[in-house]
Amino acid sequence: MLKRLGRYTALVLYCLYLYLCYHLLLIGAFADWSWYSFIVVPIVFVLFWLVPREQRKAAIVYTLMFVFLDQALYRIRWKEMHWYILNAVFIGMVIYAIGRWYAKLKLVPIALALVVAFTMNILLPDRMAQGLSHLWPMAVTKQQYVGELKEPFPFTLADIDGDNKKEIITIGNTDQPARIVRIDDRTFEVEDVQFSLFVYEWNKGLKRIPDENLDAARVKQLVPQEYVGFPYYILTDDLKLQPLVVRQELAETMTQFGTAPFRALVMNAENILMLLEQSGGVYDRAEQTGRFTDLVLAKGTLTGSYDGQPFEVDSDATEIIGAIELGDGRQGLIVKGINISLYEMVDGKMTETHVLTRAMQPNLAQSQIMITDVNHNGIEELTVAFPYSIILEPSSDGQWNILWGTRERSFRVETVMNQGTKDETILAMQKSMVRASDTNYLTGFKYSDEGLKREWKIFLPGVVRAIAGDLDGDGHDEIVMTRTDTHKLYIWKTHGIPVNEILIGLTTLLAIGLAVLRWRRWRHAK
Amino acid sequence: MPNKLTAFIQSISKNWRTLAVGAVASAMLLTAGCTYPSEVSEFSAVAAATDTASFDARELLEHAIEVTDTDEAAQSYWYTGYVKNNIGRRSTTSMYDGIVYRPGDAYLVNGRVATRQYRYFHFGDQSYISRGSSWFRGEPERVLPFDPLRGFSDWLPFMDDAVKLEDSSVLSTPTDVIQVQLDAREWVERSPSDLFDELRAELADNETLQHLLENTVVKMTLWIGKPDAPKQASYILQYSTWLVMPLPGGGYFDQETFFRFYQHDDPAIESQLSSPERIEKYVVDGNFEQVEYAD
Repeated sequence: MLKRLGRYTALVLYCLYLYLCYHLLLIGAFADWSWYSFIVVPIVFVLFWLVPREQRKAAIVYTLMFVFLDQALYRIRWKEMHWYILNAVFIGMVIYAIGRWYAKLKLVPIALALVVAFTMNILLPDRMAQGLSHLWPMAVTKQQYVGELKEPFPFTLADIDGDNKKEIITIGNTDQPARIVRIDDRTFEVEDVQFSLFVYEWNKGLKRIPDENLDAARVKQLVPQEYVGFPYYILTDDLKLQPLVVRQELAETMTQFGTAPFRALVMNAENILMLLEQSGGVYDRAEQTGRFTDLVLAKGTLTGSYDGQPFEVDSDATEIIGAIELGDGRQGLIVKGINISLYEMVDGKMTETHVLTRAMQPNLAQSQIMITDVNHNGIEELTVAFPYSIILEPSSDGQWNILWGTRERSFRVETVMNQGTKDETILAMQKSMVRASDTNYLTGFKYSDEGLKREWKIFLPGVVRAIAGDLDGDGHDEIVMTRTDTHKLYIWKTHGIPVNEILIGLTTLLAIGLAVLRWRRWRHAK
Repeated sequence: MPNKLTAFIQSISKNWRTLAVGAVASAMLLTAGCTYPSEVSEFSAVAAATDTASFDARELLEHAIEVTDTDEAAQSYWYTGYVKNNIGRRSTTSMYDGIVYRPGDAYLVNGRVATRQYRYFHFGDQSYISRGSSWFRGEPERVLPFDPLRGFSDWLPFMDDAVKLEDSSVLSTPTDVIQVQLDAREWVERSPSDLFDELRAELADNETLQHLLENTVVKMTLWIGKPDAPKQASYILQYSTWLVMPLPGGGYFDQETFFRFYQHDDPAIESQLSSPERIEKYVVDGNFEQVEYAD
């Protein structure tokens, strides 16, 4: 009895080991360490070769079956748990029949494999296991949006209640269920256009703050304006996602081919005027950033105050990025228009001292700008996060010093984690160093004068946006991310356990164990 | 540990020794860190100036419109196009491709708008639109006269400022390439297009609109088949317009409207767009009614 229990425990542990090896080592090998993926297959062959001949077939079949079970369960798309379980049992039965017929596998080991695969897929849905090498999952929110738009909606982190813990702020439409409409005997789901705020706080777990406890107007201002679906959709001030086009109209108008750009301008202008009407003609405003206050960008001028001294300059910018430390107690202001400009108060006059033009930096329209001090010299840098990431430091002669830059379009700086501490990490999306594919994965870097030193990389698929902030007040930043197709938020923290190394160690031990076994038998046979 | 492992391996067999040693070494290398050095040490050079050799762009375009509109072989063709909007980290694209058969007043659009896909058939005053696997009738009041050349002549007033770019080719047909760049205020004011009527009327006393359009960059490029090309001579083959517009709180966004016309006079088009009967069988008729809320 005890022996059997021991054997079953060993099987469960083996399944868990397989699960982690598959998701962390094998996926990593094929996703990034491509040269390593060439030898994965021989390694696996050697390992199975070491298994005693009479058990080899069963071991190979059992291992493959576990991987199949895990893959199959991941692909089941049932919202209701009972359907999910029923599907899992059915898949288990099919797999059992094959295993029984082909390798004489018994029911209990396959049932255990099914239980492990099922449990792991429930605990770590959406391939979250692939983040485990360096991150620990803290929470996953419910789905915030149901509808046809695939891209995640904007989110941000901010301490809205002054408890030194950041809250997560985003929007979604799942407060209202989708409508079902029927035409003839067919039914269709129609998504709700009314969005609402979703604000989460960390309070012994992730909790959503009820609407009545929120200053909705203030919180709404914090949601980043990211123009989801622009110019075909517009998110109004009262959070309605209004479609501005009808598909038929679009098809009819676009096939008057010559008129397409004329219509495009009309639609853009209509859209932008609607937004400007809502804001009273103001392109952007900021109450305070650094020592700058009451900043307003409207009708070609930038107005505001620096240290209480009012200023007004001509500017075609449309976005206030923020204040930047220039060293020696000086501060500048970065705004983004067709170019990126740095303004500084020089001899009592607000002056454009630095400019980054579209000719200097490709695809500036699509850029995301961050202000950080990565080299800790007291002068902050302007980081163009994407595309063609570049870290620039304003020098005193009106030039930008390039601290680091890439020509890789798929590289994207996401955020700086644990800013200003010894654990400061630049989070970026980086593709494989050896493969040509643009698929990129979340990577932690440390800045040095030699370049960005890679600290870790996880092979979680489909990360769209990652922001770091201290949610639980422990002094260390957590990572909040959105992923493609899921419309959920995933919250992680770094754990520092060398998971990959442990798995490699375990594999080595397994190989040694099997080798010793085989060697002994070989000697015995002699 | 690797030495010990090697010892064990050697003690069993020599056949796969190299393989196993390699495996262990690779596994160790796997965890090694690496540094991503900077690839950029200076800013990109300013793009070279375009060729402004003198030529009659107006005549070139006028002739191209006429040929594309009336040439017998130009009445059916394939097209592919998109409107790509680059805003911050997001890019929203709508895509259109399909076939055109002007003698039958018919065309097909395979469309995609902000990740939503649909198909659309136009036959004279009949139209059909798909949602998933179902087909619905288009609304008759939304059907426009099919005039694929409409709009090209609205560029004629700007042709005096056009520049001729280096000759290029569109799917192996040699082309003349002309480009015009202007700001949107000038475009709206000087273009005869009736699509701009409302904007034009509003422009006079709307300062916000004036500022918006003055700061909008318009760059239109046309690829016209060379007059001596064996096929598609003087056809409009490719059409691209970039708009760079200020966006509240979002910098400036880039938008490209692009169309390419190819495989003119393909006999397969006529049979595909012969009559609407093929779709009629699948059309769902009836009224929408709301049933319930989903869970």
